[in-house]
Amino acid sequence: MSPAGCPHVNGFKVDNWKQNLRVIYQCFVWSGSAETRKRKKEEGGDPQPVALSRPLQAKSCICHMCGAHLNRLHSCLSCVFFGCFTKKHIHEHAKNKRHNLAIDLLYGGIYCFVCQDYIYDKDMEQIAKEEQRKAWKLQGVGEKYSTWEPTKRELELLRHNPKRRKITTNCTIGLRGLINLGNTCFMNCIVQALTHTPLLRDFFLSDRHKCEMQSNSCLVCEMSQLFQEFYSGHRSPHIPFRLLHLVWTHARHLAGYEQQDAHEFLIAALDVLHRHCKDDNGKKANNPNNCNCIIDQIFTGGLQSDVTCQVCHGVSTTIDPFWDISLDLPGSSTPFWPLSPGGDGSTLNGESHLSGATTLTDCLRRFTRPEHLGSSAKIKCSGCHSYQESTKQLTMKKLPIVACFHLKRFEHSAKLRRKIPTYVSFPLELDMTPFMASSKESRMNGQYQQSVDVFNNDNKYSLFAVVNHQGTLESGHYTTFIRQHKDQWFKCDDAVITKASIKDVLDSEGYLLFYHKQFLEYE
Amino acid sequence: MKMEDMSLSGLDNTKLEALAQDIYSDLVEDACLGLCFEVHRAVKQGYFFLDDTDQESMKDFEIVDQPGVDIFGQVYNQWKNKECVCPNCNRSIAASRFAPHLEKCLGMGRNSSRIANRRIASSNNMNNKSESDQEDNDDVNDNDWSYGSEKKKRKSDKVFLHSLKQHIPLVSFIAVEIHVLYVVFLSTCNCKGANR
Repeated sequence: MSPAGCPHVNGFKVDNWKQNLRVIYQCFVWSGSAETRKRKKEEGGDPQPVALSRPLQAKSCICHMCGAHLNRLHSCLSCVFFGCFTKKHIHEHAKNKRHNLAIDLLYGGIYCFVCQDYIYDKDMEQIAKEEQRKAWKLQGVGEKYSTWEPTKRELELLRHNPKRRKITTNCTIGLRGLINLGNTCFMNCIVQALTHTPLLRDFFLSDRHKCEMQSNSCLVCEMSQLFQEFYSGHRSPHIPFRLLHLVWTHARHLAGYEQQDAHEFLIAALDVLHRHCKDDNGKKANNPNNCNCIIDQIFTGGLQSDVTCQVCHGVSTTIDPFWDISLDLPGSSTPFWPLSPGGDGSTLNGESHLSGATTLTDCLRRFTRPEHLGSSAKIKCSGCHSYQESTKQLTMKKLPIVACFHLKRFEHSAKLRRKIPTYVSFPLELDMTPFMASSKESRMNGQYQQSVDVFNNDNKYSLFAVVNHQGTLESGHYTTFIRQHKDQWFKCDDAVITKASIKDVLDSEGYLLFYHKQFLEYE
Repeated sequence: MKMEDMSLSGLDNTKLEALAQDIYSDLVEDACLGLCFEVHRAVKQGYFFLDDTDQESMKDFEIVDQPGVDIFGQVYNQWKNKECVCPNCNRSIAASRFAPHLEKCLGMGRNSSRIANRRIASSNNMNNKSESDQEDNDDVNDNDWSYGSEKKKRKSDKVFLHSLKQHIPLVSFIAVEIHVLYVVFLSTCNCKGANR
């Protein structure tokens, strides 16, 4: 018996008590069907449980003493009696009949009149939970979200270890510097961004990774260890030498004298994590499109590519997964303006590029503009059965939970290698709705002005990390701004963590921008 | 309040308002009751106070926002003497030099024993000239980090050794200290986002 239960339920737990309890839950607490279901006549056998319609339930649930239907009605567990709690009618019944248990019809809690308190019996709660789930399913409500509760063992452990670390505002827990191992700031800046990705943090701190790799070389385990280091409360900077070793072992193309770019490191790290995560998924599926590891859940989006034949207007669509969006900048050798072919593009969404700095939205509009592929790049059209000129357009089909935007500042064309320092202004909050595949459809139907649906929260994002590169192509340094709490930002410069203002963040040049979805839907 | 069937159509606005108000306050009360039950259950099951921290220990973790120190109140640049153990060779290495060490240790850099061994192996089979030609191309196109302060020294040495390479037979070329070669051949210009 759990400490929250009581011994008086034993009198109740006899004979067919489980079924009787179920009937009470189904008929009077959580009614499932919206319409009256036909009652089956009792014909000598066990009474069949029947879900009552809610209007019928409402009418039959009244106090047997005063007729009220409010006042916290309770039903006796031993006989058919409903009574008010606030008026103590059910208490009277309990005393008179020596029926010790009653159930609250609103929330299904069990009250014991001997203990004079609500009690929580494991078996009875189990039945309550099942009935509620059934009823909600019937009503189409979905599953009830239940917050975490410690098991008995976990409670013991927590009591024996009373030291706690809480991440509150004005608290350094979760922040830690990283030693530069010799030009490894490209790795340090990405580690700071990843350790401050809320969902990733929650995954690792709740110990969700169950490793099935035989050797010691699992990068996900190392990542888990990294989170432990970051949230340990240690002040001295962490030395990520094991992480470097593991990444270089598993992503050989990155190591040594190869180009040390933070963006490449991010993609390589995500790839290795994704590969090592697949091993603990249960299904050893080799299908990269079917993976449900935490990396895919957080970072993978779907990019839709529509190729439209200029002759027959048939559209060929493909959807490719992506972990990041690489955006061209003005000042590169490929022309940035105008944003759409032949048009002045600047009237889309009411913005004008003449008004000042390039914005992230400008870059995204350019990324999702219809692009004429030209006569030298004809596509075989399945409608026309011949090669035709076409336009191509990219839009977002599925948005990831964390969207990473890569501003292509490093140009490596045949003629020149340089860094493009054009300032791009980026917002704290971003709405991706205009760049969705669904918005494209409405745009094609002639609706150029996107009406902002204030109740649609699916596409709203918040900035939480910015990776910056200072310097030139030849010698430079990476730093990261990360957000620990709303409006509380920090600058991570290898081993040195300092407080930063929002202005510092938004004025910075920006190389990698990390946005997190504001609202998460349960599937 | 007794429950009774009512028709809403005959009621005027004030009565409807009053009804709506009643229903609203019932709903609020029910919601509050739900919260009470949650708290009651948490207390009875013993996990309600589990996440309490003690104020004293949390004081240690307050953020410091002063010039010249980081958020922990530590002075910058005091971490020069950190060391770590290489997972590959188990030697103790200074942390700030770990990356170049690991590069050689894993045989990944261009000037490492792996490539040197490959050179030795293939020089026994092929003629010297073709091998050194290949190596030349390899070296020229490699991208690398740059150590800012060592730039000037490197350029002149690079020119010197490059011409030297073309005249010295391959085997004795390898005999030159690898460490010296490593420093000399770091390129200066072709790094995308290279770091100091």
